[in-house]
Amino acid sequence: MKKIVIAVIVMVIVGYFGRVDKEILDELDVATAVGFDYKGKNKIETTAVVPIINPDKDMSNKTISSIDNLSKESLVNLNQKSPKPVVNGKIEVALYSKKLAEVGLQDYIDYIHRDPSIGTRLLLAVVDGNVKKMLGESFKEYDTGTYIQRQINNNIENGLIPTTNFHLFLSSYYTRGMDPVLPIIELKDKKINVKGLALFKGTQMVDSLPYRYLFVFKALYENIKNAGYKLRTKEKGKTEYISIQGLQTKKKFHVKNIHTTPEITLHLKIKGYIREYTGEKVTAKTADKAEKLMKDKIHKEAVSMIKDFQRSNIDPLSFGDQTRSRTRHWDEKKWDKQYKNMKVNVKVDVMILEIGVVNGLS
Amino acid sequence: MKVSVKEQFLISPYLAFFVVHSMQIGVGVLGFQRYVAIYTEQDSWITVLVGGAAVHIVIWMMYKMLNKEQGDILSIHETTFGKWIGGIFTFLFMIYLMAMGITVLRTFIEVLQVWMFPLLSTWTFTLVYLIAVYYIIAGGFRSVVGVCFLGVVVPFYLIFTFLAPLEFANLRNLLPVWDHSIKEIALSFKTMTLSYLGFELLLVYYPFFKNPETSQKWFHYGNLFTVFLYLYLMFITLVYYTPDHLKRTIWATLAMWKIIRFPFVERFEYIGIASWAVVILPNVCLAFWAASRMAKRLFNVTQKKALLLILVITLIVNPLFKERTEIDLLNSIVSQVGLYFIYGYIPLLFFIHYLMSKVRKKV
Repeated sequence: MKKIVIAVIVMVIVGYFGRVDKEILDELDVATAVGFDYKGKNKIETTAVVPIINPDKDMSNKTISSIDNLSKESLVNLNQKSPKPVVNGKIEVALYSKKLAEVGLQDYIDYIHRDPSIGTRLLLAVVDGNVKKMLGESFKEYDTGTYIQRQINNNIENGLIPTTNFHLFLSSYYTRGMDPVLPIIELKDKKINVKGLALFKGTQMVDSLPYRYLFVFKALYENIKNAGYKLRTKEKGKTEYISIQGLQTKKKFHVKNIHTTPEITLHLKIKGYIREYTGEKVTAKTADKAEKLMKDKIHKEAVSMIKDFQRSNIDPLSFGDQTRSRTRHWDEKKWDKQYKNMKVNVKVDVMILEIGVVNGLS
Repeated sequence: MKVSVKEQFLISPYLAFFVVHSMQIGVGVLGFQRYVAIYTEQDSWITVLVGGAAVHIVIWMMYKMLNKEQGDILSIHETTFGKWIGGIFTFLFMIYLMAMGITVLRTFIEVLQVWMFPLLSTWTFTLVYLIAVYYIIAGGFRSVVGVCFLGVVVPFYLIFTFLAPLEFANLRNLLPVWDHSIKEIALSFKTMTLSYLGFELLLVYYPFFKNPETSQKWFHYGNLFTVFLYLYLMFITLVYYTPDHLKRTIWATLAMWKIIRFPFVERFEYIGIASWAVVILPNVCLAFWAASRMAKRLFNVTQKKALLLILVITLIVNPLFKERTEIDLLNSIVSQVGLYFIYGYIPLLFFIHYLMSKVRKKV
C-alpha cells in the first residue's frame, strides 16, 4: 500500500511539473528555408518558407517575413507573425542577398550555428536579387526550400558547384589558410539559375566568379566525378562546338621551397569523352585537337583565376592549408605576406578516352 | 585486512571488462575532443594513446595494493594511516564518488536542456532518473554490474553512426604529425586523463570479484577498449573538423551527428542523446553504489539508508547548478580532484602502503 501511494505521488508530481512544450507536427510551421535581405544599415528582412500540404495532397508555400535589427530577433519575431509556432529543425537552405554578403555574414551565420536544431548539412547560398521574391516563388514538384536544396545538390553532384554545406563553410571560415566560397543563384524566368560563385574573405563577400569559370574552379577545388565542358573551335572558317562529357578530374599539389619562398605546382588530370560535335566528323584527330584545345584553355583560365585570387588576397583553393600540412611550425603571418607574390604553376593533362558510339555521320 | 563478501554477491572476473569500460565512458565522450585539441590540435590522437598507457600503470598499482590487502580502499587506508586518519581519507573519497555521480547526471541534463528540451526542469528529470538508480542499486552490486553490461552493449550501435561524417573528411587535417612540443602534449594529457577517470572505483568493488587476482587481465582489456574507442572518435573528429573549427565546437561528438540526415529522422542527435541516457546509467549507479558502500563500511549503517541519503542530497544539489559556467566549474573541480587522485594520491599511497605493510609485518 505504502509503495503504491509513493508511486502515485511521484507520478502526479512528475506529470505536473515535468512537462515540456508539446510539439505536434501538424500544429507547427516547419520552415524549410530562410532568407535574409539587406534593408539599410543594421536592418534586415528575414523570410521563412513554410510548406503547406493541402488535403488534396497538393503542395503550396507560404512565406513569413519580418524586418528587424538582428537576425536572431528577426527569426524569433517570425513567430509573432504566424498562427503556429515556427520551428527551425528542417531548414535546408539559408539564402543571403548579395548586398548582405558584401556587408558581411558574421551575425547571420552565428544564429544558425548556435541553434542546435539546425543541421550542418544545411546549404548556404548568395542570391543575386531579392531573396524574399525568390522564396515567394512556388515550384511545382516541391516546396521552395526543398526545391532550391535539391537543385543545388544536383549541381554539386552532377554539375559545377563545388561541394558546399554549412559545416564546410564554417571550417573554411574558421581555419587559417582557407577562405569560404558559396554559390550565387538568381531567379530567372521563374526558375532558379546558378549564376556563379561568391568568394569570401572571412564572412565578407569580396569577389565573384561567373558560371563559365566554375568548371576550372571546381577542378582546382576538388576531384570532379562527373561534369561537362564545352569547347569552341574554328574549322574551315566556321565556328564549331565540341561538347565533352563524363569529365573526371584529379588534382595534386606539390610545394617547393617550403621554408623559404614556397612555390606551388598544381597538377591537374582530366579524363572525359566527346559527346557532341557540330563539325563534320569526329575522328581520332578531333579527339587530339580537343585535348589540346581543352588543355590550353583550362591552363589559361586556371592561371588567370589564381592570379586574381592572389591579387584580392583570398585563398579559396586553400593553398595555405596545403602548405600548413606540409610544414612544421607553420607561420601564418609569414605566409600571409608571401601569398600575394607566390609563384603558382599549373600543369594540365587532358585525356579524351572515347568519342561515342558513332564514328561520324558520313 | 581481508574483506569478505558472501559468495552469492560475487561476480565473475571477466565482468571487470564491462564495469571499467562503462564507467569510463560517460558524458565526457560527447565533447572531450575540444579540450585536448586546444593544446595539441592535429596531434591529439597521440595524447589519447599516451593517456591510455598511463592509466594502465595506475591500474597495475591499484591491483598490486589490493592483491596484497585482499580488501578495498578502506582497508588499505587502515593499514597505511591507521583507523582515524585513514577514515578521514575514506570519507573524502566517498564525497568524491558522490560528486562524480552528481556531475555526470547534471551534465547530461544540461545536454538535454541545450539540445532537446530547453524548458525541461532539472529536478523532475533528476527525480525520475534517481528512482531508476535507486531501484538498480537496491538490487545489489550484481544488478549494478548488469546495468554496466547493458550500458556497453545496448548503445554499441552508435559506434557505426560516427562513420557518417567521413563523407566530408579531409585527411590533410592530420598533417604534419608530431608538430607540438612535449609541454603541449603534457597539458593536453592532463585534460585527456579526465576522460579516462572512473576506473579508480576498483578500489571499492575489488572484493566483489570471484578470484579477484584473475580479474586484472579483464580490467586491462576494458581500459584498452576505452582507449580504442577514444582513438576512433578522435581520428574521425580530427579529419572531419579542422583544428581551428574544433576549438570552437563545445560538443564535437554531438555536432558530428548533425551531418546525418535520414528521410525519416531529420535530427539524428535526438536518437543519440536518448541512447546516451543508457550510457550514463552505469556511471551514476556505480558511483552512488560505491559511495553508499563506503558509507556502510565507514559508519556501520545499512547501505540502503546511506543510499537514500545520497540520493536525497543529489536531488537537492542538482538543480542548484543553473548555468553553463557553473556546470563547467563543477566538472572541472571534480575532474581536477580525480586527476590528482589517480596521478598524485594513488602512487603516493602505493609507496606508503608498500613501506607500511613491510613495517607491520616485522612488528
